[in-house]
Amino acid sequence: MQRRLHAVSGVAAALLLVALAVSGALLAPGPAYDRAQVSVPPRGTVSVADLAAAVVARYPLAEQISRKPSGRVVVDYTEGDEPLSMTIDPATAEPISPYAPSAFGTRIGDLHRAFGMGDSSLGHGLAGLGAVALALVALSGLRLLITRMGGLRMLRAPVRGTPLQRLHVVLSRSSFLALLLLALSGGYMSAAFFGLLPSGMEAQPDYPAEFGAAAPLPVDQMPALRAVDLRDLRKLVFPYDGDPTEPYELVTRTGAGFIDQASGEVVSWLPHSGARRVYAAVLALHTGQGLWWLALLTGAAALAVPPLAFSGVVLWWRRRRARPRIRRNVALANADTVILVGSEGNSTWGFAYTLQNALTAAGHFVHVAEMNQLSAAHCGDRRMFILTATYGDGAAPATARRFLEILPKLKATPKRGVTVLGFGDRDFGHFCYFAVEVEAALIAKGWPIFSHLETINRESPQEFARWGDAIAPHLGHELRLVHIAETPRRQPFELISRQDYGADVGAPSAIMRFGAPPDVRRGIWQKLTGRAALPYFEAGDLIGIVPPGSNMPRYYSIGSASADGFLEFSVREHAHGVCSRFLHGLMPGDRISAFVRPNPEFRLDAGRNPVIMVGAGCGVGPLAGFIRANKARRPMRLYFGARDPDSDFLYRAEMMDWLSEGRLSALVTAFSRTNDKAYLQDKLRADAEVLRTMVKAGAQVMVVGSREMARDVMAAMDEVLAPVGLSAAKLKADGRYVEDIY
Amino acid sequence: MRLHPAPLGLASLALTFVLAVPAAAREVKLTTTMARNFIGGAYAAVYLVDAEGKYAQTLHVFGYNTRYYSHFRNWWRATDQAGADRAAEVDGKSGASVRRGDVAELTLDLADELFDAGFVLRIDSTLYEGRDYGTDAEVPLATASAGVAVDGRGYVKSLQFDL
Repeated sequence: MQRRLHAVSGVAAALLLVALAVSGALLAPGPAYDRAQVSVPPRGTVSVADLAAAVVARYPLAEQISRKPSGRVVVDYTEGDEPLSMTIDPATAEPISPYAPSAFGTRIGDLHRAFGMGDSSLGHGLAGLGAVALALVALSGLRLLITRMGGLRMLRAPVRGTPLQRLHVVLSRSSFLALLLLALSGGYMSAAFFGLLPSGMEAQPDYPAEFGAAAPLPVDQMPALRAVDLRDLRKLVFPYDGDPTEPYELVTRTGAGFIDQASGEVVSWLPHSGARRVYAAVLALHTGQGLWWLALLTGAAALAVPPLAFSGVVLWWRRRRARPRIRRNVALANADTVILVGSEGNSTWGFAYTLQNALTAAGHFVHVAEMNQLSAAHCGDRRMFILTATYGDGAAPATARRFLEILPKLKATPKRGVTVLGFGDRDFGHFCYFAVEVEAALIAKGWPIFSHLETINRESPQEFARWGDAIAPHLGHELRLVHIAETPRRQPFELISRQDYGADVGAPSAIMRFGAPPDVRRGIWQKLTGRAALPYFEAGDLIGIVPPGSNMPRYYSIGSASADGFLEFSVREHAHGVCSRFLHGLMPGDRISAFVRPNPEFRLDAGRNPVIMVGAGCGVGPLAGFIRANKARRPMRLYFGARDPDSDFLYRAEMMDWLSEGRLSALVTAFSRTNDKAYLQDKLRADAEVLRTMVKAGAQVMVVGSREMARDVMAAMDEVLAPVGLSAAKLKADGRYVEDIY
Repeated sequence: MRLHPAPLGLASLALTFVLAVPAAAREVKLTTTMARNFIGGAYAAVYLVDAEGKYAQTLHVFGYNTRYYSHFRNWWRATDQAGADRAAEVDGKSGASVRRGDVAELTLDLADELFDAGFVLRIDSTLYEGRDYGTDAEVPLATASAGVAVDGRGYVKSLQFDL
């Protein structure tokens, strides 16, 4: 819901906001430029009477003196028949330069205020709409950010995500306050334009009915003008045509009125109303007139809007494309069935929609939502299906992270019962762990379970169909579930080279390097930058390959970046592994069809803090990618475990190069089938001092390997860190310990 | 004495005719040519004052947004002194603002009595973030002045009315 508000207001108003922001940013340097050209005498040195006398002496036909918010003093006068304006020195009335509002500034200002439509309501209305949209976007974006970062205090933490996500977050974090100020002040002025809020600008002092008949005083002797300091002056209008019965008109910071020429006193005075002073303050905050430093700050924030709009729209579009659209999603109030989905990679949604279609065909009204959206409104006289995957080694998937928090606080129950269906992979251990947790929580809450937990292995459509048949009796009708898996769009890759290791020691592994096939066309960006026709990826991302004879993708960690021009990963051949056997059967020149799945959680921190890497066998693949990309030569210490240095020492030659180049600072190996048999966890324990120093210097730990290896490494790290009061779990909570388990 | 219905009817009919016939009005074409010395939309008020300079009526206002009308200096003062209800005076008489070089033509119906009676047709002009010109141009509403262009001193280049 939060995300939808942010997306809708942002995307719909993107163009409008960009136009407003660009025009605003162009106007921003104006006040600073203006201020640089004027001198402002200290308070108490020059009175309006002095200035007026000096002006009259030099410009007998002066019509008015105005003092702009920047401090610039301008005289409007006539010479010959021509109206002229001159910037003058406020102390001496010496001319400085002719004054004309910049044509550029005026045009851009018209564009900003009303899109060049003059005083039409449409133009001003659009600008006002933009202000409202910006406020909505900024506030909803802040809420989203707080949720994503995990609380207000975490707002300044380093951001993880794809480059575009990082750009969006970093820019919005830094420009939020200024943009909110601009939006609120702009909205206020817009409301004043339409009369919804008072601006106080229309009130005028009453024109005096009578005048003194005596001869006019010389202007420097007029008490009313002597009493006003130059810095409080806004405007002094000379009597029209030198007529002695016409009054002077004076506008100051505090009010406006007329001054009788004969007595030199104020004869009619209207103090500025509170509304006017508020409006003037709002105007000053928005335009920065008189506050040139603020204008520069808000102008800089405005410059962030176009990239924010662009990245926001692209991110929204990608999200939309990635998720199968909720077709025919019934409004919650009208639904008799609710399906809640816990999904990480979007595949579980596909099953949810297959179920939705089948139920709808049977006459139900089905509402599909994320598990995170669980609320009392989803309960009531309804039946609930919970379909969920498991993330990593038992954690909740992205769209279910808050489910177990929300559940205990609910007071409502789905009366027609609930059932949980778990999706997992038996190869991974902790099979459907999260689904089991969810059912346990539901039972503890006392919810009516109409069918106990079932599981689906490896996204099997047959098991799904069998489940449909099994629950049909509870529904009272047939439920035919025919699921066809949707995979993201795949593109062709051609095998460039392979390096084989480990055949002699029973761990056949290969480092496979793929590139774009020669006949694939490059996009414009790729042509311009001379890059290969590869999708964007970095080391740590995953490549999803669907082997022939299966419909489920298998993922491998990528060990290169698209900027390198090739996609490299390491594969260990398993006797019963469909995909690994398929890959190992490829020869250079063969093609596969695959897609890239970003894995933004498995990345190095931005910065130069040291990195501790632990990997065994093919696990070193993504780690090699990080080392390869270590242009900044930040300290990287790699612990590599394998069986035999002569057989399965992956990247042996490259590691030596990287050590000499400085991309890798230290390499510690542990081989389990040599004479000095060693294991990784022992090497870690032996280096306890070094590791402690690195961790205290802010090091990040990355572990790649099997579940057992990761467990052993974690135990060893706990031992190493205990003396300094840290543990692997604590580092994990800080985001400094990441694992990639296969 | 009883009045005979027929002559009474005729008399009232005749009276109705005399009263119903409107005073003669002349159609006036007013041409306002704007100068080229400004950017943006200038506002202008076209109005009549009598021989003593007292406010008579507003003929047209260029510019819709009433918040800027206080910048029509002489119009504002004149309406103030006459105690006129400004909102009523401009109701239905406002149009778009004028840009540099615009030639705005207005067709106005003015009562015969206004001509050659000392009334003066005046135009005040103003520009946002620019100047306020009270009486930018004025021309006496006399048959002799018809067809003669009068120069403006500010944002109005010239003013002319034709009968």
